[in-house]
Amino acid sequence: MKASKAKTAGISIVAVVLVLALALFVLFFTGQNNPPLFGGPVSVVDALGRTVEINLPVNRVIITGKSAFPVTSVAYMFPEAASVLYGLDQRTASVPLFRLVDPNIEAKTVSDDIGAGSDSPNVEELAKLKPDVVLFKTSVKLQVAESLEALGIKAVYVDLENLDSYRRDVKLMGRIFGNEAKANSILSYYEEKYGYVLAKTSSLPQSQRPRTLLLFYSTKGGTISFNAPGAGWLQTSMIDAAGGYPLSKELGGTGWNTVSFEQIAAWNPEIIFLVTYSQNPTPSQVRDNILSDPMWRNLAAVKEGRVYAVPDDAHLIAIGSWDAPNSRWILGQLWMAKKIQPGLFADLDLVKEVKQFYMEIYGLSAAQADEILQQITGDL
Amino acid sequence: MRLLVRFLAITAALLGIFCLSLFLGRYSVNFQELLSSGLASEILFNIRLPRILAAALLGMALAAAGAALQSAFKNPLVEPSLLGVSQGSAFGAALAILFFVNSPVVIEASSTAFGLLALLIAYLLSSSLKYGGKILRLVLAGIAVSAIFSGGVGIIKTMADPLNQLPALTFWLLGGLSGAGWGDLLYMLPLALCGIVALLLLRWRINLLTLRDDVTFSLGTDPGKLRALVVIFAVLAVAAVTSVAGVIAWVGLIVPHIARKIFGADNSRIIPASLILGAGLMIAFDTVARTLTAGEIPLGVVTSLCGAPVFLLLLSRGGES
Repeated sequence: MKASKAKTAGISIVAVVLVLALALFVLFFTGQNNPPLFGGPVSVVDALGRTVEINLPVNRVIITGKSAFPVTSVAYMFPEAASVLYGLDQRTASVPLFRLVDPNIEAKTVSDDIGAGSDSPNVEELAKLKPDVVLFKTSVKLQVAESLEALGIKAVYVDLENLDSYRRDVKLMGRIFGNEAKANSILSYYEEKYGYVLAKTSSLPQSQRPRTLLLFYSTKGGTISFNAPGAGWLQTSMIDAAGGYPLSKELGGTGWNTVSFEQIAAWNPEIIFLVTYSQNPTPSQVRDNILSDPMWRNLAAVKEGRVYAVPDDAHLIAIGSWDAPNSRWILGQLWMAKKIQPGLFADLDLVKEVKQFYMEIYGLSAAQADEILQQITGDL
Repeated sequence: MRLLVRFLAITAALLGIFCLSLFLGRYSVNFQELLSSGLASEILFNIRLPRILAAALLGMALAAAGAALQSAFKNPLVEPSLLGVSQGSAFGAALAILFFVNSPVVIEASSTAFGLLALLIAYLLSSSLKYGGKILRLVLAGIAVSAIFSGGVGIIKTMADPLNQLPALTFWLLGGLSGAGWGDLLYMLPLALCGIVALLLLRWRINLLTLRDDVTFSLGTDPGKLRALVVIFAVLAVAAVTSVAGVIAWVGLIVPHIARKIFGADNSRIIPASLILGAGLMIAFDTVARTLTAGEIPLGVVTSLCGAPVFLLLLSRGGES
């Protein structure tokens, strides 16, 4: 009797354990849209609408290919990135912000052979590094991802070109890094700041929106050229959101369009933002040249002294400039709002906002945030 | 007499296009504004005028070189890019963009140097070929050199930084005069002018090259030497303008054909006519490139787009020439 009681108790314990295990198993494998608690496969839908099965936790992640900087800049917002990212190129590893977030970044660099900057990175070179997951910007060719999948390496695309794709892609990266809470806090920061700007500017009639032009000054190809962003580009929508009238939106499509001085004069902008994505010359040098040039003197923006160099915290090609779709565009959004509508944003303390961004989003200490602040070039 | 009238007519057309182009642009300039606004006169004299003159020089160099080379090679399909010059120049520019991103002078010098180098290689190569006549050998060598340099450009394209260098390279390869100012004009003027004037002076003798080589020889001229001279001056002019404007196709091919339609086959008339027509046509093309949309259209795109149909039209109405 005693024995059978013990037996029953034993059986029921085993049963309970089995049921619990089954429940956990069901939790793990049926709820594919919920991340597993301790690991296992999760399926994600990437920016190209592909469904990718990923085994969590991921330990080795590579970000490479054309326009990888925005992806890297978002990845480093997650504290997990410092331990799982590797295979970075020298240029990415030299960005001051990334160096503070990931002190060992130098040891994780490889030569550019795996395809930094290329729209078709070398699949075999990537495979040699044995990553779990490779993250690509949407500018990388789909065939690359397909070849990687054939080798058992997961490839996930992110886009990050506007707020909508930020919403989707930050969540996606949160799931890959296994930190959805951080993804939500990043997104709520972006939503809050963007909403703050829009609340003040969205009802402005066109008559109160200064005619604003962002120019990318380039001395490449043997000639000096000014290039303006097309209607579909982030810079154009940033000017609009900041309460300006983006003059170059009459240029169709996305990408940079070379515009002549004549066209700039015909637009006669009231505000000019300058980027060069280069150290030679810097946007500030170009601003000085423009302000002292007799030809430019006739433009409204120059007469009123409203020519500004866009801030940059990395002094590198498009990695650190606040107008590009890297993580700092939200700072660029706040900065533009203050420059375009100084009256509406008189209460906005930019230095405080910038410091808060580096500390909250990238987890820097106050001293580290000050260090970055001091390296920012342009007209902050 | 009729020829004189025709010359006067095309010259008048050139002047008309020149004046019209000067007052066409994204920024509207009228006489009243010219007197009152400093900006209008700045745009007219420091933006449009040098650019129009640069376009004229570009058109003159390409057209004169095209006309001379078509006669020198007895082939109406020859244009300056045939001997590998354009691809050589493109390679030189691409190399310079890759290594000296911000230096226009280096890019232009390297482009001129490689254009001439391509010609030299083609010439040396042609003498070692064991196939066909002298002209065919040179054409074959030119095709080979052209292919090698365009392969080189392809390699540089894959090596170029896609954010920074590739757009510059692409725009350069499509060709254009956006941003061409007085400085660029002065840069290409000496070499281009040297080539153009030399071809103009040689225009009577170029006719001799259209004869069979033994006939030319019996007339007391060494056809080989004369051909070499013509080719060198043509290439000099082309390399000089290509170094600033990039690769511009079609104009060097179609302008001599138009000139032949109007003035017949005599090179003493075709070369000057090509100069005038080339200048006018290129100014017109560049005006389209800079005024049609708010963004610049690469000039090479406009010349290909307009040049190819004109070429077909010329051929379909042909027969007399």
